[in-house]
Amino acid sequence: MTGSRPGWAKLRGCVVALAFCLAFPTLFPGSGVLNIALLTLMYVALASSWNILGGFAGYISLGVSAFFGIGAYSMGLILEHLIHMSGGYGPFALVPLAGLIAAVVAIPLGWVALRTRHAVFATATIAIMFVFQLLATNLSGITGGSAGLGYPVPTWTGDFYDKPFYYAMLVVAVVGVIIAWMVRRSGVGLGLLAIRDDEDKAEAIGVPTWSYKLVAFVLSAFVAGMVGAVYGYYTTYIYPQFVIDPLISIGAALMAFLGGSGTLVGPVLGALILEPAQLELGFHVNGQIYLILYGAVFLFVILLMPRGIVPSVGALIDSRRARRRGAPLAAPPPTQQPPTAEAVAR
Amino acid sequence: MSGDTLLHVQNLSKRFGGVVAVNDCSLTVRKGTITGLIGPNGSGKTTVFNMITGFVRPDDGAIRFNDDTIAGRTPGAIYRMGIGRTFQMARVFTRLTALENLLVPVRRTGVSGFLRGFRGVGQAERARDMLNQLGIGHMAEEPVGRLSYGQRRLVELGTVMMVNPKLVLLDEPAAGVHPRVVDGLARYIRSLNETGVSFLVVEHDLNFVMDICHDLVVLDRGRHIAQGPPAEVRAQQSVIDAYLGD
Repeated sequence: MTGSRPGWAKLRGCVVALAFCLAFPTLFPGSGVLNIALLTLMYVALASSWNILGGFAGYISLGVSAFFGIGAYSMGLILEHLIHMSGGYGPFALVPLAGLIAAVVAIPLGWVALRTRHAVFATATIAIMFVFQLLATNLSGITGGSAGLGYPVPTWTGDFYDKPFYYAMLVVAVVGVIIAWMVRRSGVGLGLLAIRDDEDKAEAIGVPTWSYKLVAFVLSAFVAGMVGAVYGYYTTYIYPQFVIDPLISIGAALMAFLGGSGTLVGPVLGALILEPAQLELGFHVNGQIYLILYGAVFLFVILLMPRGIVPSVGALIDSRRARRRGAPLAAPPPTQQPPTAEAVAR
Repeated sequence: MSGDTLLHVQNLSKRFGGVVAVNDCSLTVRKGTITGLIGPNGSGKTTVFNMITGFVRPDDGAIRFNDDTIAGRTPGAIYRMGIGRTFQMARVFTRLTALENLLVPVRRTGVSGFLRGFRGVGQAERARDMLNQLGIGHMAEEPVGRLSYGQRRLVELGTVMMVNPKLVLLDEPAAGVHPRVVDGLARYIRSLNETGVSFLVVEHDLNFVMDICHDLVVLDRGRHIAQGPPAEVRAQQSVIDAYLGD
């Protein structure tokens, strides 16, 4: 069927991409490459989770790292105080629980923050992030404070070390993308897109705007919490300033903007471009030079591609097709036919 | 409120700072009628609309719809009661397609409503039919940002009609719209009215109003000065004075 072709093509594309990701550690077994791939997958998940609220609803959150940190600390604290596990595959079972804790914490925070809009909302999320960073630093009796919090050390070593974490992060990234996809195709997603265009109008036609935004905020926190948990176990030691780091939030938002916020592929593409570039730059040139890259990418996106790569390329293809057909992009005026009462009643 | 009254606005007042936008205004919309709300610029028509639909809270007065008080409710709650509206400047979701615009107000509840795609809720076919009847079925998958202003107005009206409202408030539906689309619009409104939907229409195009309305309400400086059948209202001296000056 002609109508289902794009759907099948997309599905085939997803299967090929997933197969490539699964085979990646075999194709590129080097620890350095796998480390870059793992961190790239981390940002694929974070940018996709950011996109659920920031991209679909247009609510720019800069507090993703708060939930990333909550996930990391939750898992670390559970392993430290509640369930004593030795390093191995066991701690991975706690990753969904860490996400759930981040999601539960997000409910009251979203309840308050989502009363605001636009720049005020962005500022509120930054404030939330710094509050959690301060809490993690100052509640040293629980979190270890600035001395950090240790995880059980994994039993595997050598070149194999990165592989379990790579696959764990791949699972979280796939879950993050699937959640974003499910939201996008659902009524909630349609409501979020309507909120992005005109929130007052959406509310006026019965869209439960506040509940939809809260659902998006909580789902976003859930994914970020899981990512934080895997990252925490990977590094085996976490510090407040490194897991509740504003640069993690900015990175996730920037990757979504670069690829195309509000699209499903955009944040993934943005992460695939920016994170390896940042890591390579940091490795070969200077540890902090990537901050200049961030600034340059921000300028590039704002000046040349405000909608991001995916929508801009899509628009370019559309306009070329239209020019080839010799048809205008906008539709001709409608030919009005009087509607029938039966049709209306149906 | 008599049995055939759908909307009853009683002694409504609204002041913005020192400006009295609406002053002791009363009007009724009978079930199954098209009522026109006319008056010179600045006479408070849109403010009355905004108060009926919950966008502006009245300072004084009462609004009853089907024997329920609606003053003080949110726009969403009023919409769910069965009052839909369009805006003076068409308000549509420009980055969504025409079809998606019509599907936005469709209610979905529970986990199944979340998991099921928004195109699979059984309303997509109805939305397509609606777009076909509006004459823009071929634009169903186009982002509304690419549609002409008149087409956006039709999408806006289609969105309102998706939830089967009992009363629709149209704020200057013919303004800035191609005359051919205006003719189609008038036919569409009459056709909907025949199915039992009532309308309250603000419009400066008096020919349009006289053509489709059963009743007219005239506002001047925030106060209603006349209500009745168009022919009678048009002949009243107070209405002539309001339009032409005392």
